[in-house]
Amino acid sequence: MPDPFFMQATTIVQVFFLLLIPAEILLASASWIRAEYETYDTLANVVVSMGSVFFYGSLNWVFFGAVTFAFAHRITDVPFTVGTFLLAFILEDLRYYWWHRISHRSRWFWASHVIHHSSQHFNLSTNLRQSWTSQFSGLILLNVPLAYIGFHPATIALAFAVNLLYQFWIHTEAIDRLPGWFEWFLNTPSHHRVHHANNPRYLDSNYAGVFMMWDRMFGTFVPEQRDLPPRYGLVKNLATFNPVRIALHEYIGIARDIVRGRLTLRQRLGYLFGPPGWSHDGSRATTETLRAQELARR
Amino acid sequence: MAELILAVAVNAVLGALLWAILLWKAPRDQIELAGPEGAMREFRAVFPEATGTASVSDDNRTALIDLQLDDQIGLLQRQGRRWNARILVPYDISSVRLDPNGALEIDLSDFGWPRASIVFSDTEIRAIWLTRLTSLTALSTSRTSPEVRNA
Repeated sequence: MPDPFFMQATTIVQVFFLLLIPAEILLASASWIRAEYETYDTLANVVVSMGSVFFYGSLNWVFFGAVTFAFAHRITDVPFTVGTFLLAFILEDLRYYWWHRISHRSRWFWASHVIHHSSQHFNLSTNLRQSWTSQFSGLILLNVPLAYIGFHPATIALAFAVNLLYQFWIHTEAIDRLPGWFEWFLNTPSHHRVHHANNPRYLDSNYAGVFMMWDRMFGTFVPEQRDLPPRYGLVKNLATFNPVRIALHEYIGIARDIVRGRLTLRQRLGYLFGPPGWSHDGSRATTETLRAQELARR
Repeated sequence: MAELILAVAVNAVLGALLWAILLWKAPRDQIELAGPEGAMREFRAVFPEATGTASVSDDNRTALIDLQLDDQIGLLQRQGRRWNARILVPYDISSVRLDPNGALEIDLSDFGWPRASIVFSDTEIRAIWLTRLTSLTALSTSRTSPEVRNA
């Protein structure tokens, strides 16, 4: 089990990172770096973050309940060493990749994650827009295998915290490109700008948390192109800064779709678990449809 | 529990700090549509193949776009310093009415974009759009558009 010092250290680092947000605003206003902030958008990010912290913290027993149960039935004991923590960190990043990919490819899970993509700006404060419902979307179960293997729940929590902390600094337009080896190996602002873009060519790509090898390995890597600046936000952008609407709009959309008349059970399930943009009559566009339309235009 | 309260409090302090900085530093100029051509340019940034003509509201914050199709209307609306574009099909509109001040009030069936309020001082343009929007709304009870719209 990791020393409590490590857990406290992640909290301290988190507070330090939060202070980078005002620094980014001030440096951008002096035209020293590239960043665009909008008052209501940024305040919405902060209020959403308060909700996220509240709901995530209040329901943390779901995460610890699942991993503690699995850990109680573990197949082996994995001691806490530098080596095993690195292994846990890599495996945690693989879990993150699949969690992220599923969150984009099935509407029920997208409804929880969409909040993070709902801003039309991309700056350090965008990272504050985190889900309110991640503890009960069901994907928390992806944490179970690590505990079942024998990693201590605190080790998993620490690996998760470090992974999230890494992802803070990549939400920025202030950094253009990093050295080639870095861009190849790790997630960077450039890769993550692509992930947050709604240009059809960029949709549903670059899911990695830290290591880009997962996207390269599973065929979801898309590089940022100089001739295609990212346009941030959703395919159907929100016309509100209201945090409650931001957090819940996709759930409301799902509910409205599945109660529509004259649908079969399979169609209703399609609206619930199908990819975002799926519709029973093809009247909406999924990522694949939008990409096909974009390819036809070229 | 104390940690939870502390985490929320840290966010509250951060919010207050950012608010103060943004009141001081954020740009105050508002974006506006530069006429019908400007509206079409913004609309085509999202829907490159769109053709038609735009009617821009009096405050230059919203535009309705005649896409020359019976069952599709383009809507462009300012959202902070960005432009939101949507192709409205019958199912998207829940009601349309003219408020006492002459504004077209469009209620959308989207929790994330619940309504649009558009003022056209030109009564002829207003009447045309009221008819078009009402017709589109009426279609929603009879069918769903087969055309592909934005997801």
